[in-house]
Amino acid sequence: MKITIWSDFVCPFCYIGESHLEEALKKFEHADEVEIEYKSFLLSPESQYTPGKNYYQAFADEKGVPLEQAKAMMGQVLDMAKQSSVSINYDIAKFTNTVDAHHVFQYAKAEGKGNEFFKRFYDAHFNEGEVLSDNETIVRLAKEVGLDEVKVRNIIETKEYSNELTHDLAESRQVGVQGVPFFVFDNKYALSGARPAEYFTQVLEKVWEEKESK
Amino acid sequence: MLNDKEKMVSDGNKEVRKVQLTELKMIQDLTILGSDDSADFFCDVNTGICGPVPEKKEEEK
Repeated sequence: MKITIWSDFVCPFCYIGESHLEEALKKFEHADEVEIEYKSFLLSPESQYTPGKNYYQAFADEKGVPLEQAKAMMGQVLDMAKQSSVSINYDIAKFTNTVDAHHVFQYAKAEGKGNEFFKRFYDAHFNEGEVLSDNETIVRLAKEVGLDEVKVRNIIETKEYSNELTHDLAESRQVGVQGVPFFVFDNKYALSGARPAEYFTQVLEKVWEEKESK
Repeated sequence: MLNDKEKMVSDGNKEVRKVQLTELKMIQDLTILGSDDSADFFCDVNTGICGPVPEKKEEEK
């Protein structure tokens, strides 16, 4: 079974939803036969990191919503994260774009390290206060997952792998992605959002049963 | 249609490798699974805003 996930490193419900999927997979009898592939999505491609501006204010300014509304939204995220035993720290998180990080992710994917890369960048954003648009940060984190430093620097400079990123984004539009995370099971069933682990369990079993009955 | 667009982008930039686009055709007929909940928690791709989104929005697709 193949599960394709459209996501961005800075998407909180992707981070939470995928933890629910992982929880479901731990109980799924055929988890060893499940392959997960991440695809790029850009939630805020135009955003620039502003030093000294906290996450709430940066988000409010970028999205044009009142500060209190931004805080309320983050509050919902934090409540859900707490219920899911997922750690998110908006007091140190940095609001910025992830375009170059996704270029390098596409390279990581080509090297068979895409999933590892995604998880490392989630943690860096949500728990370590890393600026994911900063070149040196991207290089350092990419090295941690075993990518070649010279190659990573070259990708950031030349925008190599931009075609792969464009492809993922075009594909998301074609399949009608309205929100991320967006999960596709065996190119047949799709769902979006941070659904509960029990829901993922039901989907996994349904898709597996259909697959086996063919 | 999208395949053609992608090829034009590729042709316009000789430095960029061509991407395999066959998968685009494979997942056109997706069945969107709904939810028992009144809202889904996701990040809207148009606004980038994250929060509870009414299920109705997904059904309209």
